[in-house]
Amino acid sequence: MLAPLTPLATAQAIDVYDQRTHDLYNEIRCPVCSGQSIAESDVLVSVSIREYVQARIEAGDSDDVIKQNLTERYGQNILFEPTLAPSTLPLWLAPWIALMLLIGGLWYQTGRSRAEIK
Amino acid sequence: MLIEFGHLALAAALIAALMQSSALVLPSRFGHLGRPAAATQAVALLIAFVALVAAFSVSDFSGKLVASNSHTLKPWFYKLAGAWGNHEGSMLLWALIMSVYGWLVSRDEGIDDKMRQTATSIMGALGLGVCLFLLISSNPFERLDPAPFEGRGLNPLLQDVALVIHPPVLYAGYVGFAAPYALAIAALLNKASDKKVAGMLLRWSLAPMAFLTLGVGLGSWWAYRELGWGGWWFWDPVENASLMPLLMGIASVHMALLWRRTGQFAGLTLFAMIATFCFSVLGTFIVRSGALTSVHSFAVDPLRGTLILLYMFAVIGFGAFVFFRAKPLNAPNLKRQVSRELALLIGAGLLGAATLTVCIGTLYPLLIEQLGGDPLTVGAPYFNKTASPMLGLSLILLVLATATRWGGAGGLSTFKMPLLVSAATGAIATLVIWLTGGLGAGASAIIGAALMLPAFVFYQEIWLGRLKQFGMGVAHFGFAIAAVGMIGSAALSQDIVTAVKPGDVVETPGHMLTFNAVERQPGPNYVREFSTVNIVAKASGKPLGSLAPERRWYPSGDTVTTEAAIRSTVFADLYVTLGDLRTPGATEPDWALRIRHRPFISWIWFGLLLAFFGSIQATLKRVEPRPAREPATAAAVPAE
Repeated sequence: MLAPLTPLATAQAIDVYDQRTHDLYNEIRCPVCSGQSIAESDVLVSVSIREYVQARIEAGDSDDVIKQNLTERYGQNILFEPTLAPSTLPLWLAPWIALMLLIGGLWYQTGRSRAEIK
Repeated sequence: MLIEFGHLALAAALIAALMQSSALVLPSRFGHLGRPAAATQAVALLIAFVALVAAFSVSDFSGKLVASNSHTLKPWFYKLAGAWGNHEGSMLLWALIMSVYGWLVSRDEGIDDKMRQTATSIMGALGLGVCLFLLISSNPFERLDPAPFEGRGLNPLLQDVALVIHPPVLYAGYVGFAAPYALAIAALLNKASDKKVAGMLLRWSLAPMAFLTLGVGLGSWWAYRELGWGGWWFWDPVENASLMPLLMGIASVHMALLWRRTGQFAGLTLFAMIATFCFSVLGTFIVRSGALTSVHSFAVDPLRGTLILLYMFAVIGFGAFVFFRAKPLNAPNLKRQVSRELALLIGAGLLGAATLTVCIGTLYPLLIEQLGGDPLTVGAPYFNKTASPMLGLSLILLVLATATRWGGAGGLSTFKMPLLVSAATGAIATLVIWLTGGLGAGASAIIGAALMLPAFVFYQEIWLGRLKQFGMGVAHFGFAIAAVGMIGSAALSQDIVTAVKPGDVVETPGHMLTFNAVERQPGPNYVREFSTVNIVAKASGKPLGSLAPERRWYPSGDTVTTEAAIRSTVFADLYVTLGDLRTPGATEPDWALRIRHRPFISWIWFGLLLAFFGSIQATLKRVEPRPAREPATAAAVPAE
């Protein structure tokens, strides 16, 4: 029944994992796909990163150490969440600035009496 | 022949758009030219679009676009949809929809003559830009000589019903915000800032908001069913591109309500209306320029990116120039007290802050790359920590706003009854789910708490009819229902990944699944591999039918897609995908089965659908111009 060898049968293996591994997989981006995590992608490089992550977990490494090792090899790009660094400071400050602007604007536009405006 | 015909019609549309926009620079006695020109542009673009669809339907491969995006083996339905499932065709659709909005604006007798003429000519200028872009860099009517015998097909991921209607609906929203943009600028140029203008802007921004809500919903429904990842929102740049104008659109609708009621906040409302369309164009740039890669980035030609960028700068620059020259930021004032005014203002403000955050998060990787920094990804974790809480807070505020009164009458006491009703609903729901639904106490409480949102809105707006606007009540209720789906699926989802052999039984929170042997069958233009998975309820042992997760191989593009099998019930989805062979070449193959339990997820799309119908009803109620109500309390603020 499964005689003709189509690409369907030659694709790489996926493995079976627990919740912690699953969560970690979901924080790591597949380097060659668009927007997929390695948990969702079955391309070769994702599979090998999964194997690496699983091996490190079994060796007792913490999530942070594993992520650190991955960013050293693949760059910041490998993580979905940019770590706080000088180059990402504006990014992490932006929502706070937006909120400050909002609160400041609200303060400015409320609370005065009609007479003060004119 | 068809293709030349379409080409000619596109050129005609360009000339009509030029005429339509000329009123901006010509003396005002030429203003009456706008309406016939707008009609001509719309008709010409319709002819061009129909010609393109016709070329796709007869598989005329002498058209370059048809040859590279269609295939004779494709079902006819997808052949037609192929016309807008690519860069050039979808930009033609963009132009068509914009011209239709322009034509409708030019015919709206509810707008005073001068403003209508100005707005019509701005719509003409916007259309002119898109027609130029099409003819210069994205001509859908280019010929191919010699014509190939077979086309190169369509991305199989895009062969889906949701995606056939997704672009037209999304564009009806996205592009529709051009109308409030043009009207807001016309209001600034004509120094009109009375409350009638607010009502008019409200009327013209409701329909785009409704369509964009539906479009975003359809897109996420497609992603959920088709990508096979079990998620419905990925904070992907393309999704963010459509989310930004949607959030800003919702904010500007609420600002227009505030302006119409109080006569204040004209400046902020006009700003929000202009910003919304700017975000639409920014979204188009993100999606169409190929600057950020995804399924949508058909365009990799740098000329296209540059032209869209120029168009965007023109739209933003013109809007900003007119806005800041007119200095409409009068100094509005509100009392610091519990009132509907303040709730709307803060709710809309939070939406604006969230939009800004999404915008920065989406563009940041591009910026870093341009500055030569280490490339980085800004993904879901960032947005979930920043934009999501703002959106949640905004939703809660806007829900609470339904119980407030204009001018703050009644103060906090107006919350008593609706809070009581929603708390009771939440408590009863928690108990019922806990005792009968098989969920733990904590999980039941989460759902119970989430249900307080729709209960609150339902009691205030539909039961009591407090906002006197049925459609609006339904729309609010729909968003609250969608929120329950988002909260429920985020909090209670479970994933099981397991390797199986035929005959294996897998246990999930509510079911026992039996995996059967994988079969292979030819499909219309692909080969499918699927397994039948039998489902049995764990508690009662009752058989619940079967699911057939599937993988497809499309020989024409040599791509493999995963077709998730989904068993949807009101309270949870069971989502099964078939993974690759675990040990290729082994005599007895293992398969990987990904099983995802997604509680309440279908509430998201049901809620958004309700929101769409509610907003459409509210739009239709406003289409007939009616005399503006003049509340005795607030006097109109003079134009400045």
